[in-house]
Amino acid sequence: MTNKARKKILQNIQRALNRTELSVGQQQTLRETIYYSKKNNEFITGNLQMLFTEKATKAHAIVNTCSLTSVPSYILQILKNEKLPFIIRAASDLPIHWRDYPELRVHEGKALISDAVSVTSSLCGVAETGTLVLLSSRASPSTLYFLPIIHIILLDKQKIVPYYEDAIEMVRELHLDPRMIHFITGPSRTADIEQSLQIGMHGPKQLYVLLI
Amino acid sequence: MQLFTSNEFKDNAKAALQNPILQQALNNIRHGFVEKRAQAIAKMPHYDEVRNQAIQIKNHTLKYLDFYLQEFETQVVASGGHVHWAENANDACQEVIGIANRIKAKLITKSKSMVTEEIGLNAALEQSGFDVVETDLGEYIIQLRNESPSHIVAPAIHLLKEQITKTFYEAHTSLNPNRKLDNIEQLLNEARFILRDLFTKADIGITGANCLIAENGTCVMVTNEGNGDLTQTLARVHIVIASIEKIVPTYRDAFSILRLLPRSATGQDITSYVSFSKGPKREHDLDGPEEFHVILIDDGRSKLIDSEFQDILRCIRCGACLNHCPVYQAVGGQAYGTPYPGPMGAVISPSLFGLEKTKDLPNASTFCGRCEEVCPMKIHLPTMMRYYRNQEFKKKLTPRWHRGIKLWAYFAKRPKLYHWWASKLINILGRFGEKKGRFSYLPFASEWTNFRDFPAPAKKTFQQQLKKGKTRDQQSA
Repeated sequence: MTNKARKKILQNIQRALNRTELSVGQQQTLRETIYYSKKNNEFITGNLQMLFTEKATKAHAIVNTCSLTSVPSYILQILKNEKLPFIIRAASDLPIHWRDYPELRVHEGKALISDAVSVTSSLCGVAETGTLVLLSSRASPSTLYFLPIIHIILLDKQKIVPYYEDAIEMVRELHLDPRMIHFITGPSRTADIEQSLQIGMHGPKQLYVLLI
Repeated sequence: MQLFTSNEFKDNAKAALQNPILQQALNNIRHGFVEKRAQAIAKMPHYDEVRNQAIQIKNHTLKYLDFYLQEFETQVVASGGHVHWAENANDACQEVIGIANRIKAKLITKSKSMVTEEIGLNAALEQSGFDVVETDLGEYIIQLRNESPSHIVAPAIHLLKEQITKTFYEAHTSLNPNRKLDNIEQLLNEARFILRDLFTKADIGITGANCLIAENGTCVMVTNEGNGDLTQTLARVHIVIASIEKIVPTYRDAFSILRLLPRSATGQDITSYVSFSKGPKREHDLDGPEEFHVILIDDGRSKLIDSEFQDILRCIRCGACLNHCPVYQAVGGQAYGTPYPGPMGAVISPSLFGLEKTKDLPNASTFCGRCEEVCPMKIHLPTMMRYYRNQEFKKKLTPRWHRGIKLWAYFAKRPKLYHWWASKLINILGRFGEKKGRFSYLPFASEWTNFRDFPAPAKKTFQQQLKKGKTRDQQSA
């Protein structure tokens, strides 16, 4: 069915466009001009970290600066404030020595429904809208970003870029080819009941950004 | 195929106007969507630039649509996914049912997708014995209530929270019947609790797509709730269902559209989540679907290319035209009787489902032009509705008495006769209405006089007064 449909749909489009299939040469020209053309127009001025923080905060993320060594104590503080047990689900690619904090139980691997808190890193931040860019990998599975109630994301201050395009450029330059790229801006939300904005629907109810 | 009630639009609209609960719910649109969009656009000085860019992208892609679709297909296959093509609604449903049968699926979770509403997917799957659960809060609510969505972005916008509370008490019978459910937060928590379990148990997760990126076979989805990602990450098999015009050449092009879509829809700079997915779970991955399918649906779109309706294929489903439409604001989405209401629906619905089934929709407009003004893709919606009105007249789909316009045209083309007749009519009306200056009842115009008075005209026509040199200005001077 699908092959017949494929042929028919492509034929219908070509008939409407009043031409046949593009020649190999035409296809190559299109690829070269479209896929490798220049960036979109630029519109951002000013300090990227300030803009990122302003936009992320507006989207209800909690943004704080923190040194890498004090990340565990920062996490413990959040758990205390939220009256949660000292258990987290962390990505296995974080440059943190959890062993120095024996009171914190750290699980790795994919998230489970029972997980309350996850800790992950991010590839970069996008100043344009205060967006964090996270990739899926074995070390940092996508479920970490959506199942827990609280998601804590580490972001290297040096890795705040102005535009979405820059984030994709970074993925390419690092020769990464992730299955999923997630743009995350603030915690999950809905306004489906009476247009009233409610923070925390199916994804995390709280999103912490730690600028390292 | 879906059962549409578009030809009952007039009755639906009348009922909607007399429904006080609906009217209260519709009031939220003006204070929500309309104001928030205006604020978001005001803070975007490069709005027009991005808008023109996005229009160019869509026009370019349509010009080479066959090429980009095949590029996309090649890339999806290269990343381990499957592409299915479906000419119409029925074929698309059959493709999904085929996959579901093959993997012996029972439970199917879905995130919000208008194209699945268009093709009537839920009904088709249920008829084949599968359990289908909508996971977007609004869609979940209307699924429980067995209703159709009333808005392409906020499907349950026509409901008040008290109605939803009642629905939850009736549906979630496994929970304590004495629990409290009187605020929105409690409703949210209950839906979250119920659906959480289902995400992990699902055999298939179905999502829509806001863009399909040709250069590397990526499907783009914007959501706020996080249900879309749980749907596609936790189910055994992920099926993306998208119509062919969702293709864009590159990531960069998708970003131009992403800069417009949330701002025009909900007034957000960006939604909480934008997910770019490509292919199934990799060898060492700990989560993700084992199979990744994309179903490309035409369902009447290819025939719009190079027609007077081509530009409607630029539509990115933001819903701004609905939110700003005085007719939509007054009657809500369900009155339109198709999954696509409001001005975009008045063009898309006849284009996809045929004018015969949807003939009232192009007439459900005052032509105030706000839809076109707020459309991020500058689609000339009123012009296209006018084309459809013309077609209706030519196809004799308009009610008989509408053809009375020909009688009027006969007089209008004969000025002397017209003036003579008009002066007599005006004179009679003027005399009758002289006392009160208005009519509270007029035969043949009860639709008007039932709701408001009709002002009585002056006894002489303008032409007559002009001739006598007694215009109002001169009288008052």
